[in-house]
Amino acid sequence: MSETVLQISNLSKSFGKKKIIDNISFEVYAGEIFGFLGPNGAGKTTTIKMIMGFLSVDEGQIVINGIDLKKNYEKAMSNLGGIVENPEMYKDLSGQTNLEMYGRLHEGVTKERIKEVVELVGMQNRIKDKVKRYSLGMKQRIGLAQAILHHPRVLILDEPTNGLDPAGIKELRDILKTLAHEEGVAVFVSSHLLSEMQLLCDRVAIINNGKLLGVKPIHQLMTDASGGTFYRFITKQSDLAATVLAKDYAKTIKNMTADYIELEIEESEVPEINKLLAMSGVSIFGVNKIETSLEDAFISITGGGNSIA
Amino acid sequence: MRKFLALYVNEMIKISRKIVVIIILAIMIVGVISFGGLMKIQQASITNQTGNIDNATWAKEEMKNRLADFKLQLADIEQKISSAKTEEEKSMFQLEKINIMQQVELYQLAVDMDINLNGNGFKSKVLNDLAAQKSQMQQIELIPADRRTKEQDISFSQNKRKIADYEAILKTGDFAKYIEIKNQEIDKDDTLTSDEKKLKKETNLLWLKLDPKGEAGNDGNGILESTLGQIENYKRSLLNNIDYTSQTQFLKPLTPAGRKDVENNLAILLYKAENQMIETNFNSASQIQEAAISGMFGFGIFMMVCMMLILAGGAISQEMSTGSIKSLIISPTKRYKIFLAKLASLVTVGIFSALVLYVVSMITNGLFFGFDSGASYVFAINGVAQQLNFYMYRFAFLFVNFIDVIVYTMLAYMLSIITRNTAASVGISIAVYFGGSLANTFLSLMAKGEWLKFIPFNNLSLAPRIFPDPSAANVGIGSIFGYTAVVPSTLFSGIYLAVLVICMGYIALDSFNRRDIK
Repeated sequence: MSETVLQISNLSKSFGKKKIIDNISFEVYAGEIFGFLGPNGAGKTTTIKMIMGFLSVDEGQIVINGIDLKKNYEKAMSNLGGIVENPEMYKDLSGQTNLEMYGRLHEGVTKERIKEVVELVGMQNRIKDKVKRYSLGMKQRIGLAQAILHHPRVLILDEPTNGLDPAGIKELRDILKTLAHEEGVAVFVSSHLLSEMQLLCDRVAIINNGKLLGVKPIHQLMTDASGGTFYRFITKQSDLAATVLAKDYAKTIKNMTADYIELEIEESEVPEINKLLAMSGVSIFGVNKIETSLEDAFISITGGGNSIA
Repeated sequence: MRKFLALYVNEMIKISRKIVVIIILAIMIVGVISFGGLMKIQQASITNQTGNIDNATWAKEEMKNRLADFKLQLADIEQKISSAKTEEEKSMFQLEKINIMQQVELYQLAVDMDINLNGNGFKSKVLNDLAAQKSQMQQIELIPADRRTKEQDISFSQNKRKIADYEAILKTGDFAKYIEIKNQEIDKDDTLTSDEKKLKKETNLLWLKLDPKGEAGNDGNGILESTLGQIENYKRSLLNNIDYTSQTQFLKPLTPAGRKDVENNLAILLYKAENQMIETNFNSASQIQEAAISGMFGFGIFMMVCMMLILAGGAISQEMSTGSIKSLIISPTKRYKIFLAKLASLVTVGIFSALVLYVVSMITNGLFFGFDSGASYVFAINGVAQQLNFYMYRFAFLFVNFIDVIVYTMLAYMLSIITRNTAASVGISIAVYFGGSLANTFLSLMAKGEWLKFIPFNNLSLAPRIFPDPSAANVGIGSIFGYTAVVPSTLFSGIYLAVLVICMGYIALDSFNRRDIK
């Protein structure tokens, strides 16, 4: 495993009496793209704002590149770049001036470096224009340029694909992958879109209601999520069906209601079971094949997002 | 320090692109120049006035009218004498005639020699004295020579001698001779103490020195006379350790502080007398120039305060509302550095605009009224007078006014951080700036006591206390209602304002450091 550049331990935060972040811990390694997945209001932005120094930390510890944020704020922060929510710049100044001003606050940001990142995000033609004349997508690009200007070890992006067209999203994905896999930057991306994460991230943490539900490599999450195919047997006698199946197929029963019973079985087993049920006097009105999508998995993991008030 | 400098440079870039700064500076410059121009037009119209009669001409006319009046009275009394029935009546009219003839003679002289008898010039004094002596002499003359007392004889010869002297003075216009005679009279006066004699003689000599030809005051103004009176009063106060300068009817002994004030004021006047800085006649041109400069400064400072309150009131809150604060917070800088860099940039802009105001005002003044026309400022420390040249004085004056600007800027900056609302912080601070002193006046009307010293408004406006204008009476709204404003000492106010600014700064910094940015 490569080195840990962002370490969050036992992080908690309350607004008033409401606990927004509840004892979160995770680690992000150099050279990986780490997804931070959760429905709206789960606490993604709050966590990011705590890491970036917008919000005070009630409990817990944030360590960036081995430096405790509380103990040496400036040094820890100099290893961090990012965008929170929308990229906000000084609208009356040009993109160039904005980058120069930001670069001035870091050590070792040269004119050449500014030119380099501007070319990387493809903004060299419009860089002298005032920021207020930029589209949202252009602001995202300039925001990204600003975030990576000083070669941060950790790059934090909050919903970075907002306002980008499909081509822009693809371009962003390529830039981030290059940064992570070739330059060894730890990229931390938050999103509420699992499909996006699927294409971008190496590992994903899922957060809901301020609690961390788990951290998994993306491929494992995908297999977990799409791991089973369900067959739904529609019947009014699901209780009877359950007793019939209890003998050999007890483990396959995934779900049961008054109207149907769901089994996790192979396709080849369907006629066998159908026969067994019919012989036992259970009237089957139909059998449906149900495949869980990533979204379903996400909803089931996060409890369907019902908690969002 | 490197980070602070970087932040400071960034803040200066941001402020320099703000349109409000450019607009207000432009209004300030245009306003100052136009105000100077207006005052110049005013000055020109007063000095070239053709429609109105000036004081000297008016006085001349008055003398002629009086003379004609007395001549009429004389004709009238002569008719009365000729038609008088009894001897008694006749002799009574005769006495009256003598009186009137004296007046006719006096005013004839005044008209002939162009002397304003109602004025404060030395010639009018001589003429009045001459008339008094003549009238005394004539009274004695009425008594037959053999029936006069010895005193009357002495007085008669004295009168005669004085009349001769005065007539000679009038003929030659020799002011020095007049002073000499006056001082001789003082020497002979046995009712005066030797100190008092010295005092009076000094005043006369100073008069001769300041106005060698005795021309001052002929148009009726008492400027020189009142200044001389002031100097004599200060000297007398110091001599007897009694406060003759206070306006109250009851004389009080001088307090040690009061004695120091009198010493300083005396030193200032003597210094001015020594250096020909005392006005001997009403000078409307220089007064208009003074008004022009204080008007230019007043307008400029007003614009400066508006600009500073708008900038400070939005310093943090505007960045919060547009979200641009994020790029500051993400950068590896502690928040107190951001706080200080913003404050430093505000102060820099303030100083810059004060310098612009100073340069523009001085150039405007120079172009309209002449570059060497401004009056310098004389002040005294421990009874030793010192002079601050015009340009230095105005510079110092402007920067004492700048203290108030700093206090109000700090208030707006603090509000910007605490309320996070630009409109509220600009609005509240401008309301305090305009309404505060008025509210304070009413508070001072209602309440009394030492605690009023601790009201901020009583400690602001240090300029009139650091640079008091001895010639200007402070007529404020208070004097109409008859209360005396609480005036803390300059040192107290200085410390008070410093503590106030530090407290506001601390509250703002603490809030900015600790509160979450959502």
